[in-house]
Amino acid sequence: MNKTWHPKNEQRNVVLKPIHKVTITDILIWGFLAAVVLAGLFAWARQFFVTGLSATGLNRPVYWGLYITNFVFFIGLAHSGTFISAILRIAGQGWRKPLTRAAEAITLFSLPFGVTSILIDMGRPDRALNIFFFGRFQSPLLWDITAVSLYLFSSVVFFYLSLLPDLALCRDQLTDVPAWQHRMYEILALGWEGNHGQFERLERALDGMAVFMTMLVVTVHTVVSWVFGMTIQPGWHTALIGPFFLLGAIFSGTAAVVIVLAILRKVYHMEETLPVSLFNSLRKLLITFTLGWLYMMIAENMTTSYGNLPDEMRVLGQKTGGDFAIFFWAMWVLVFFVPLLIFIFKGKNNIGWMVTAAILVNIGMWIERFIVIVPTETRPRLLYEITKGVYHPTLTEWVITAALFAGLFLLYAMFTRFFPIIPLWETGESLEVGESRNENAGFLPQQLGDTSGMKGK
Amino acid sequence: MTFGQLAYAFVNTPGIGGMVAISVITLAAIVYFLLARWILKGDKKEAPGTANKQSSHK
Amino acid sequence: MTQWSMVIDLDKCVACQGCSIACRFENNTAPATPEQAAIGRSMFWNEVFPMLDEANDYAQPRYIPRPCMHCENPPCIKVCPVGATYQDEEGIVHQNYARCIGCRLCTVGCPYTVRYFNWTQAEWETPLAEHLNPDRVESSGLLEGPAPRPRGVVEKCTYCIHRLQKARAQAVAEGRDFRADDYVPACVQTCTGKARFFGDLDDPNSTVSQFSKKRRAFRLLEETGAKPKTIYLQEG
Repeated sequence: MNKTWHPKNEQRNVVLKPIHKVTITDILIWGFLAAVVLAGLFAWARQFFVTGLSATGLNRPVYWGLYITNFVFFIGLAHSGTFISAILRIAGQGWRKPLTRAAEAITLFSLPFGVTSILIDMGRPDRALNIFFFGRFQSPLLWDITAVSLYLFSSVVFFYLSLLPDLALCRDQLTDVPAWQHRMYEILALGWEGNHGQFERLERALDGMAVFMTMLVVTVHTVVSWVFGMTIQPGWHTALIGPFFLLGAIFSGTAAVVIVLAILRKVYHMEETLPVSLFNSLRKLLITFTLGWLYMMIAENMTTSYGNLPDEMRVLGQKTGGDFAIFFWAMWVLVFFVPLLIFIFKGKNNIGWMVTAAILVNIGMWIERFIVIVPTETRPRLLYEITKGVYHPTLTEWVITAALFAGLFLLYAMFTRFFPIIPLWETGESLEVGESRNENAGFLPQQLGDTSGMKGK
Repeated sequence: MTFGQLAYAFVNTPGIGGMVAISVITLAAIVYFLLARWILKGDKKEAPGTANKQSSHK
Repeated sequence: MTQWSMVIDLDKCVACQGCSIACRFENNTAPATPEQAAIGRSMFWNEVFPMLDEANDYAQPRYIPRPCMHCENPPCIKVCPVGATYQDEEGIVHQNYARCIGCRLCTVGCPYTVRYFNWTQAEWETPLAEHLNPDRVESSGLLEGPAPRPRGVVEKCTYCIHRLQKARAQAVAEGRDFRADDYVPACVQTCTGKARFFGDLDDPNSTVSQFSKKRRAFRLLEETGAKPKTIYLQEG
């Protein structure tokens, strides 16, 4: 077993430290999160068996509400990981390496909650399989099912493949963990030996998959938006909805990465492994996205208001001065004004401010999803004076929403206690060429086209 | 049957969409399985002493 | 091929809402409790909308009854993921309660908001429960028409397809050809002002076909391109 070769990494002990032991604090936090999840499960069970969707505040014409908002938000959050690990991999941004796994884990754990949101929103979840038996490809929902499930599957594989060398490391190094945990590493490592060929093939496979994943990211969030965009409802039926959703997804995802990194750094004492320079790199990206968001917002609302079509203007009026004005303007403050000021003037070398801004961005992006979905429904085309919609989410909806988020945090927190959250092999030091030639295995980052180390810019 | 009719039948017939979704996932499963196996094989000739299940088949 | 169509003459409509009531009993549309109705969950396959003129001090109220438009190009059918809503060769847009998954993509897709979702389990008070319309359109994997709907599915006006089926069966039993005037939906039959007409739009001699060419004829939201087959005749 010890024949397996692992790249050297100064940070090995720091990164593996959280895995050795589950603390009392962990148990308490997990317990709390699990309680919230249980409350949500109970609320859902009640909705499923007893009340049906009458437990929600949905009505005619507001047929979609919080659940669909959550669906779009979670799928958007999921774009963090793929953006960091796939798009930045293609772009050759070496600084991304320490945070790839932490970001991909967000993808991995938020996608299932996006899918769950759809099931929760269905009137007849017991008939979900009808989608496969009777699926019609003309429906945007089928595009969603295909793209999201392929994305979920590919993310799992992409994540797992890049986890393999570290699983093998856990298998070989962590001998003091409980037997079941060690057995888990043994099984999951699939007999990885860390020879040069394996590492080379792994790098090639990940590079190839990164291209595919990038295409998937664009596809997934675009088709998610097309569920709305393909209808002819005012406010939804715009070609910009796809790109806007995509940008928003990457924006909120990247902001989520900032939050996660700051927590990991603090709780697991990874100051060395996750240097401030990472936050500075993310800061530059986030400034770009904030401005991109402004551009999209202006492009969309200028077109609508200049065109002045009555149906469209009623929806826009709902946002700017109607029932949703408070959310609309709160969104502007939370997503744009405050974060941009923080990013530009306070964010540099200051993790606290970065996290503040990132949290605001994520709250604001959730509101944005809500603002895109609901106001349109409250002003249907026909006889809007009479069929005006009002929507007040109920406790059931809020409890289930809270449970989905708690579930995401819980899975994430547990994952960091059982698996190395920093990719040790990718951040590993390059070996002397001679040394690796003599061993039966080797890891040669320079030969594989990577130039920058883990220290960031 | 013209191409247009065929395309319409493809998107409109209940069941075909489900088959498309399932075949895409199945295809991905096959590709990913082969990819993982290809990676794990690595360069076997340089690692004769490494005993594990993977080397039992070639 | 027959294209079923309805013409509503707004000049003759007296806004008695008899069509709404006839429809409710013909099609077993469940009544909503006051609490449910207050938050917008009542169901009217055929709803009569008041178009109140606020500027004119509500002096001249106008009304517009609205059944399903049975569009030639229905936006709801395009988006249905499972084919639970579909159009037959005669242009009627069906809703199959046995297959619907309750995703409500059709309800948000319909520009006329004619589709209703069963938020609760349908319930009737005792005397009503004993007088439900026993008609149903049913076969393997198919449940349509007035059959009481399960919770969590979408329903809508069907131009009373069960009446069409019965009329066809009657014609067969009597050993004659089915004629377009053998069948009318309940709202047409009951209309107090005789404002509603029903028939085959493909037959140039039918009433609906003649009316559809009148200058007074218009369709709701023509700009959406859905091409409704429920046609209105303007007032005045």
